[in-house]
Amino acid sequence: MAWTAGLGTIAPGQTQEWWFSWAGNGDVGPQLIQAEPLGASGELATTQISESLDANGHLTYFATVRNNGPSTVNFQWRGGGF
Amino acid sequence: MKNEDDTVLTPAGPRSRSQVHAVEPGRAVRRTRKGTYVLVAGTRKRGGAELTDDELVLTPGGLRPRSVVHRIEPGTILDGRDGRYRQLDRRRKAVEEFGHVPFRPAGRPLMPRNVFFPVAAPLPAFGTGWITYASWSNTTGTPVSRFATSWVVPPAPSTQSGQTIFLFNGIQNSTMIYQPVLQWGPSGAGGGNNWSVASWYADGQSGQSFYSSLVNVNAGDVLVGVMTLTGQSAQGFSYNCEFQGIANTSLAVQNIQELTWCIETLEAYGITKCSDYPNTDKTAMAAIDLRTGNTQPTVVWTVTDSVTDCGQHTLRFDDDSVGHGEVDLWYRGGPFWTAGAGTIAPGETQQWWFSWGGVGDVGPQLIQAEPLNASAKLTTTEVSETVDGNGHMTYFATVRNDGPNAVGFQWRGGGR
Repeated sequence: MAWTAGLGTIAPGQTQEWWFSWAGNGDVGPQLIQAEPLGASGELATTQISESLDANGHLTYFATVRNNGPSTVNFQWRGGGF
Repeated sequence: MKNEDDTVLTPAGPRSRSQVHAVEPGRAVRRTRKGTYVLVAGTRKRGGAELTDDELVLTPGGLRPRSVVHRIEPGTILDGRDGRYRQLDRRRKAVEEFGHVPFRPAGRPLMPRNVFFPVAAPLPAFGTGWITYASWSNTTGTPVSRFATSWVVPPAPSTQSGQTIFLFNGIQNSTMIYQPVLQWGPSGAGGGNNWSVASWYADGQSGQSFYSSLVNVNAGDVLVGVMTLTGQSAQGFSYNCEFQGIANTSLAVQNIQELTWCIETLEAYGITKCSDYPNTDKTAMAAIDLRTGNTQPTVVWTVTDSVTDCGQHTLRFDDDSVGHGEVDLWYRGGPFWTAGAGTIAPGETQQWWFSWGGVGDVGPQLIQAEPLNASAKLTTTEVSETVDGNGHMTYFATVRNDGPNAVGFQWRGGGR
């Protein structure tokens, strides 16, 4: 199921890490997560995706985006699994 | 001449004749503490009908005597005032009495613990009853005022074994369950090897069951099952249940106990092989809209995978976003794979390889490391592919432990 989440702004050269959490034990299987620029001249690289398990057995997903473009841009996250 | 090995048709599907037993008038089927069934003398009355001379038919609550399974005519209302059920016509005049329905103590949902299916008679090799489901109990103090779910009628099963499959959202209490049901196969409401829908209001084991007209639908149709609180008084709660836009599927009830446990359920009977399930991976119970009064409560679904013989399971999505998200009911295992079992120290990086048979090419693969212990954060930094001199493709993935502790992990992945 594909999903969209978040609404952020990122400056040129800046890196941001976001987290994504689902209810229950949070496990929604492997997830493809990518940042989508919402403005022109945006080049956003999703550099890594992580999974973290806390002491309550809850799985949280993380993704890191870097702005390789020349301008500050708004973006959202898109993702999906199986 | 009858052969004991002949196959005969029963409401639960084809069965060996030796497993189908006539119950003579004046005798009853009784379940023993061991879960087997015996025939005993004597009759019991419920709702004015003797159970012993009644055939069993399938309902979303399991098998019931046909005498306690009632169709509620379009335009009429089922009234439960004072614990006695009666059908009221448009002028609110009782046109049929169904008798007393004993209330069970509050505090435990009716289903699935009251699904009734005789395990010692026809015994399918695969699990029956509530297969997998998600549930949420309303403890907000405000009654559920609306519970809607949208789903697409799945493709037909690729094999027919006399199975019956029910898919529904529903609300229940300790005594009754209320549900708009998509059905494949036969039930007490009718049906066969086609998809059909009806609304049900059913008691637990061997109890009264009421259903609306059964209406045929087609694979690909988009269904919206809606239950709405229509009134509340000293006599009890009133609700309507229907498939939105499908005529004659409405089943109105009034003056009943409050319904509190919400569920999204896959239920099945007579499954003999995994291909008896719909010929698709899953059904997404989507656009869930759950309201208490005029507000949308915080809903966290609890998943129960009761039968997993075909990999059945439930996944939740976006519970906390607009509405109450989506519950995916899977008929078989998910398409993502799991592999490996490793341990990784804090700050350590490991590269693993993954190889499939043949030429090894299974298309582009999403591969991620999943931590199996707490306080771990595993980052999959790189996924790569190589082809050797024999044309065989091998996949590689690299994981780094960004957490403070050494943890066990496995790999999960998949493609299209």
